[in-house]
Amino acid sequence: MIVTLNEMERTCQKALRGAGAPPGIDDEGGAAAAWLEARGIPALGGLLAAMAAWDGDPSACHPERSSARAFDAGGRSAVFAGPGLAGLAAIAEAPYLEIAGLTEPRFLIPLAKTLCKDERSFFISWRHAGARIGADSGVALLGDWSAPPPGARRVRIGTECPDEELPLTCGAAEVEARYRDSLSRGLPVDENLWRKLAAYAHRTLVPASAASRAQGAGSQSSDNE
Amino acid sequence: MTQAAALSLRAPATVMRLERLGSFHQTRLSFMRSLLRRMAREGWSLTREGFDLDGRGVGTAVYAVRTPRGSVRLIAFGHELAAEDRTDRVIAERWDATFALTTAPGDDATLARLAANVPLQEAGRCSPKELVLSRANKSLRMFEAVVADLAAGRQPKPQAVSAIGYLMRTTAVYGNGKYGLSDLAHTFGGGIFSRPFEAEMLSVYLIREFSFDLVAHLARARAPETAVPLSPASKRLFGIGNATGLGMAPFLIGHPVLLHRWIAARETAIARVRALEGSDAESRARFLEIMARAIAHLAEWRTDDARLMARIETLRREIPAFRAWLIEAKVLEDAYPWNALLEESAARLSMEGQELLNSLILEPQGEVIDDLEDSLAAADETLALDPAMSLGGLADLIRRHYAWALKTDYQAPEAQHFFWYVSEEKLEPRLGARASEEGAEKEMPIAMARDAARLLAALQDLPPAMSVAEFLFQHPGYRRTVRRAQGLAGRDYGEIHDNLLGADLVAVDLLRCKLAMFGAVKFDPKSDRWTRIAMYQGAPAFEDLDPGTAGDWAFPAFLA
Repeated sequence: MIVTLNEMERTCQKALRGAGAPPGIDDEGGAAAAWLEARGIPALGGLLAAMAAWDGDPSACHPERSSARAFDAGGRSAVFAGPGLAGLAAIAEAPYLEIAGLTEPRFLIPLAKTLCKDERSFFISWRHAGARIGADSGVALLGDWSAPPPGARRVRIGTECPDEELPLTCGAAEVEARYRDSLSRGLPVDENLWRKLAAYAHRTLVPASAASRAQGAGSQSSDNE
Repeated sequence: MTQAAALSLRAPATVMRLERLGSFHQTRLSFMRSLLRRMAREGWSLTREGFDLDGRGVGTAVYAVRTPRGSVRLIAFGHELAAEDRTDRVIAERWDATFALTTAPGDDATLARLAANVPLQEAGRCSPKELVLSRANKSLRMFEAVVADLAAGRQPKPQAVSAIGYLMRTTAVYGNGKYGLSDLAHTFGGGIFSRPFEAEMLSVYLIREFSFDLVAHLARARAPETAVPLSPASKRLFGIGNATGLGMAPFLIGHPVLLHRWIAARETAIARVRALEGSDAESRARFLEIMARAIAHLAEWRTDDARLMARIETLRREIPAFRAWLIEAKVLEDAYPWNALLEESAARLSMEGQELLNSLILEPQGEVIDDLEDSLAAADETLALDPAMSLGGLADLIRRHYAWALKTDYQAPEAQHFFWYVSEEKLEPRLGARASEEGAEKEMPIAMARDAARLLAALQDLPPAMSVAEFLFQHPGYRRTVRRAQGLAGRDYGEIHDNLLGADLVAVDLLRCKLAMFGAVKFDPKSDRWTRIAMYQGAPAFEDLDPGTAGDWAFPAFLA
């Protein structure tokens, strides 16, 4: 099945809204999933896992803090915790924040990208993979991206490079080319994952009632003049 | 007054009230208007590559448009539609005709692919080669009357047709990645289109050409010996109708960067004309001519909607009187004549009249304002979050930019009378009454006035020096409101300055604003939640399109 970027982003955002994500987390998480998928980085599985684990507790969005730069996400997902962490990393005096037990750290990449401004750039890494992110220079992937990292990771995110030894895997030009290719061809998606997303998105819909039918916003049942 | 003073734009507090937005009329900068000027200026060609329809109008037609930057085709499928299947509602499943605007070649493979999907509309799938998906129904009485006239060798009489003003009306025009269509970034990247809704507006114009060809074809099938095609003058009588419901309304709230650019361009155009120190004889004559045409247009504009009809009646009285006054007082020969007109309009004209006058003064000033067309698009609509801002700074920002939202008591039932939601049955935005309808817990996120007030209240007891990043880390539920407030700083026309949940909301005003930006005329609300309009009525048909005619079809009138 092929979908467009617009369909991908809107469906992911609605799915998060349907799952009960806080306002704004749904917008940013959905946009981040679409950003990743459009650049050939699988995200839907991670998004669904995050929504399945979400129990409505806002603390999933703010991991426990043991110091100004150390956090413990307790196995929670960057889909929910990422927006807040990226914001703190952007203004941190320390060169980077270190977050233990964070799942789906790849979501931090597009979340941080939205905070790149002027001279502010980001580096993100987890064990064997990461990314370098700049406002003008784009996103370059570092390290081993051959398989999604299962389980929670110790993640570093900051404005100075914490893992300079990670080799360049995919330069910013190629990442951008993947996006252009997705625009022209559409995005192939797993139908099973898409059905699950659609089920979450469906929760945002309101069933018809006698009152809503009476107040229909279109023309009436027949229009034959 | 000084030129610098005249260049100042009207305050958002004035412009962005929903009642005023709901009084907008088309301008030179409206999308249909600028598209036709561009087509004529760049010498676009139109070729009917195929017209394989039978005597009932069933079959396929292909229209190729060639521009200096590439080609697109409108593929039209004509269908037979039973009377009981004809509805303008978005949930309809069959239509008189369905359309796709595509960058694909008009070969058999493309036609077969589109024939299997386009007639299904939402139930089919397009590809990124398709830019726009649409459908239209005939205006039955009008369509049949015109076919009968043409079959008898007659042109339709303006008195008989101008009130309806279209042969077909679209019930949906989809773009931007919906149903598999090209994403907007891809459409813009293709090189032909670079302005908002430009591909959609071209589709509608080509559907209008198809409607002309279809009535001629059916007349010829009925009476091959006597039938005549529509003349270029007759074609101007007909635009394309459209029925627009609440589905369009949340767009303005969901695209605040775009809304800002549209309104800022319009307000900048008005300010530039106000700043003109004098007027030459040509622009004075042109203005008086277009004003006379607008007066005739008002006489032909009718609606069953009591609220709008009362406004039209007021316009019919006040605009001729205003024209008589400005001629008598020779205002246009004074210094800063356009500014003087607008200043006087505040005292003499209704809000509808003031906004009509704003549109009219722009008409003779293409050289002064037409470059603003290129400022209407927003390549990046991202609202940037500033995590380093202090909460004190954020609170100041909200007090400055959302003062209009902070006066309302959102605990009062009337302040949250409505909620916006997406209907499971229609998959379209709807308005519900919070007290009496289910589903308020699923309301759409468009209540910016209420949310800004809630955010400010949440900031009251927090340290002003705390960063936005720290606040949002601890209170993630305010992310959307904070991002929007910060991202719209400096984009003063991005918010509608009204409570869109309030009991006094007139939702059709949202539609009027957007449709006026498109270039629609003859607004005809059928309730407070949907409206009929005409698009391209008065515009030259393609055979009649040149740089002269392309710029001179505003406020059409046919009966004078």
